[in-house]
Amino acid sequence: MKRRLLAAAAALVACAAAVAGVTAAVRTGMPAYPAALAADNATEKNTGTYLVSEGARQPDSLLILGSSELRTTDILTHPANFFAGSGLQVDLVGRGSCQSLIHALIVGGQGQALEGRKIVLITAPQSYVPEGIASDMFMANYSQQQLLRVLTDETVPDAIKTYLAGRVQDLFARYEADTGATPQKGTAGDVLSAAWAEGRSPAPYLPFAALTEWLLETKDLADARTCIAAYTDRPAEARGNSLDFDWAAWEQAAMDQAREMVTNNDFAMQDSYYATYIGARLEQQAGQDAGLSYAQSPEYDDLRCLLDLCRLRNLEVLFVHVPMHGSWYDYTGFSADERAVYYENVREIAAQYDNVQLLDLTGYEYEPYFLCDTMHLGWKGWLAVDRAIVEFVS
Amino acid sequence: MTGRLSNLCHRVETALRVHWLARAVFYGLIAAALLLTWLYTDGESVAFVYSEF
Repeated sequence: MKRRLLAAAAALVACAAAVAGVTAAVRTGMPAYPAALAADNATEKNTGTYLVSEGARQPDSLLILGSSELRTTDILTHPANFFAGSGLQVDLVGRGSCQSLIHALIVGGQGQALEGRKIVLITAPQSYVPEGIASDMFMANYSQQQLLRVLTDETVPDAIKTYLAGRVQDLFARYEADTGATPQKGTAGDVLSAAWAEGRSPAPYLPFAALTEWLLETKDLADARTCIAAYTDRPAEARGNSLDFDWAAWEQAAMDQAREMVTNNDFAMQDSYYATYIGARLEQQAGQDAGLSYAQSPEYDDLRCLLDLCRLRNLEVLFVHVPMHGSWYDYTGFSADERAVYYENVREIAAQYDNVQLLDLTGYEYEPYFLCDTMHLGWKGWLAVDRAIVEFVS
Repeated sequence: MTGRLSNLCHRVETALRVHWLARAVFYGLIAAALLLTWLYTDGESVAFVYSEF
């Protein structure tokens, strides 16, 4: 009996030593952050913490949190192109459907790594549908590691933890109702957020949360290593130190490109987008959004939570209020009055935060080439953001 | 060749049955392999299927 117990103990020690050895090897000697990674919205940046905190440590770096508009790098004036080789390195974080709740987890999951920094936040009108973020899109972008960081951070107020936990539990339930699947059931993030959401003490779950967080941090580093390796061979853009731009020349270049890329429609949308998503279905889409309203949406409270976290970390936020495509939505029946309600709702929220500087672009609904499709910043829109960024960081 | 391999496997199996230290090391290696597989496997629990429109 004694021998068996000793043998079992030895096996446990060996397993623990093996796990400790592997995690130490992964955590040690992380490769340098490659400059080419900053201007690319790699997925690993959305669901981990290491790459965002390392990006923030790079010289002259500016974090830009957004969603699907970040992918429009074929537009000349996209910040990744505009600031290439300049005195500013943009760090793009986000992909389609990374809405305020996901951004809140990204910011909250950084702990104090972003303390006092300037960031740019781009919000998308389509986030404010009555249902808020779709459950499948939330689950695809959800990070248990970030959630655990926030829920175990003693500097985060209980009100923020309770709100985030409640939203996460609500979306887990909605995903189960929509698909029958429960991929997060019984995980540390699930049980800890359930405790916070239901007003129970989280104490019994903290050891489980700590072990999970440690493992997920190790995985984050392993993912970061793999991601960095993919960028290491890319040539680093020669960096200057100037933020002087010939705005007139850039506007002309933007218009020249816009005219080349927009030839098949009267909505000033990029040809490829129009052909793929509208094209022959144009007539069917007339009036399809009649009755649609963004007046009520969980996204507004998610935005407040995100801005609460930004204020907690003393972040200075340039908040880009993107317009909707005026002539397109007139065509589909989403009325100008309803659009105005949405615009004002967001303005009112932003006005409550002294650390938020609103870049209100909603007056450009009908400006050709301001957007490149129904919803994403285009040639003139990105240029307006670039100009605001230069003022913001100067 | 097959005979040597078979002989080696038999000796390893005997060592694992008889020696507690060999068993402990074996379990440790299994644990390390499982952890490394998990760490370096792309683990999206929910696929990202996004439509622009």
